Amino acid sequence: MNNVILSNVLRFLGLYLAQTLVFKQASSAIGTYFHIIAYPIFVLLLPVMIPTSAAILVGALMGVMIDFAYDTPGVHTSASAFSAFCRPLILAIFEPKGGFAGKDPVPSPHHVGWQTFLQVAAVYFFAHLFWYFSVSEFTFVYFGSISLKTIIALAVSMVLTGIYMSLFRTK
Amino acid sequence: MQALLRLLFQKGGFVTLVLVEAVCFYVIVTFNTKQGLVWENTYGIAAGNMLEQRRKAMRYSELPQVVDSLMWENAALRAELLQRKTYSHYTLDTAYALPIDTLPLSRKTPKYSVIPADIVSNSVDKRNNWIALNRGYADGVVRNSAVISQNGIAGIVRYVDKHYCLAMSVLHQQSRVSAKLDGQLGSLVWTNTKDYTMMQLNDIPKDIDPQIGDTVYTSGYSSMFPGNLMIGTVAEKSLPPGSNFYAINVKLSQNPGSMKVVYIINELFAPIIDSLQNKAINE
Repeated sequence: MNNVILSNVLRFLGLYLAQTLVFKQASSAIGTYFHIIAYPIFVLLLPVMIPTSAAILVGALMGVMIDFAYDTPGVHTSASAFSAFCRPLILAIFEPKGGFAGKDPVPSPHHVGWQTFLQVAAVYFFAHLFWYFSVSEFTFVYFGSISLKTIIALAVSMVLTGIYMSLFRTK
Repeated sequence: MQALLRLLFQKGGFVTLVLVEAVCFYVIVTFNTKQGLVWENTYGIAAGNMLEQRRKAMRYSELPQVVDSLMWENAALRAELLQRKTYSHYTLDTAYALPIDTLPLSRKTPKYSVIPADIVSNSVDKRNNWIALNRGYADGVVRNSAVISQNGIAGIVRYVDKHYCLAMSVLHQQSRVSAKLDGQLGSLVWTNTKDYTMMQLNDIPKDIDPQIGDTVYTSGYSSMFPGNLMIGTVAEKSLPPGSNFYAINVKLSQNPGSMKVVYIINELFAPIIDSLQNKAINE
């Protein structure tokens, strides 16, 4: 149990630092439509059995810290809370036959296989990114721009998620 | 605080999400310039729309009062118009050295009061037709007041109750309206023809030559209808053999079957004139 908490705390800090020190600078250097967003991996890899409320609050905490770094009060917090709320719904859709196996399962390739994992991650990131860009614009007048940014960021985030999972092999 | 957290965990994520998003929404529109401006604009439009809808709803609910007040205003204007028509008639008459409307207080003394009324029931297809109106003596209606409509004459009040009155329609066999055509006085009557928009004008002598389409007005020589109100136009004329008077059919300018709102006209001097006439008769 302590291992689970420790690994999540470390993931939280690692992703936060990577997001704010590396990806934020890279995004602004490349262009307006290019956003590298990797920190939602933290909420995605929370244990399956964690209550939704707890996931939302932990996700909101990560969002608040990211907002401090990005100087966008409330925007990342809102998106993180929303994607954390969606996560159990997405997991229920892609749940393997017989349920999640093992002690303290997480939705990682180790537990559900690469294909299911990538499907879950794609839907989860789509929810997060679409909400994030919608709140950023705060109007659906720019629906085209919101959709384009979501698609580009989704592709980048999926690549980063794949790299992350290959590097750290979360169990 | 612990109880609140327990509630949040027990009731699932939706309540937590709503609370977090509500806080986020407040923070976003308060501390982000761009989102704050969008929200202010949207809120302004939405509030404007709501106020507009509320105003429309209020206006709709107030319509009966608005209609009523407009009817009264119309009645006041008609009274004013009748006053002016009456006096201008006199001022055009050069036989008077002193026009009557220059007499002290003559313009300030109202001659008519006009009361708007809705038609409660009306008929046009009987031998004698009546019109029921939603005004009575509580509203100032008196017997023998004239009833006119937007485009012409309608009848004479015969029976008055507290809140209702019954007017004898012009389409009544006892109806006699003093009318004038080309300066000649005549008597307008209803002879129960099938066309209820047509009345007969009698007593027009053959020494004038009325044309089809000439306008027939009230003469004003009765204490009921004010003068110079349009009654209708000459539709047919004939001179029966051996007669000194035309038989004229007048097309009414107001279709008696399509009236909705009428005006009851009280001639305020009528009781004085009637008492003078009675004195003359009794002498």
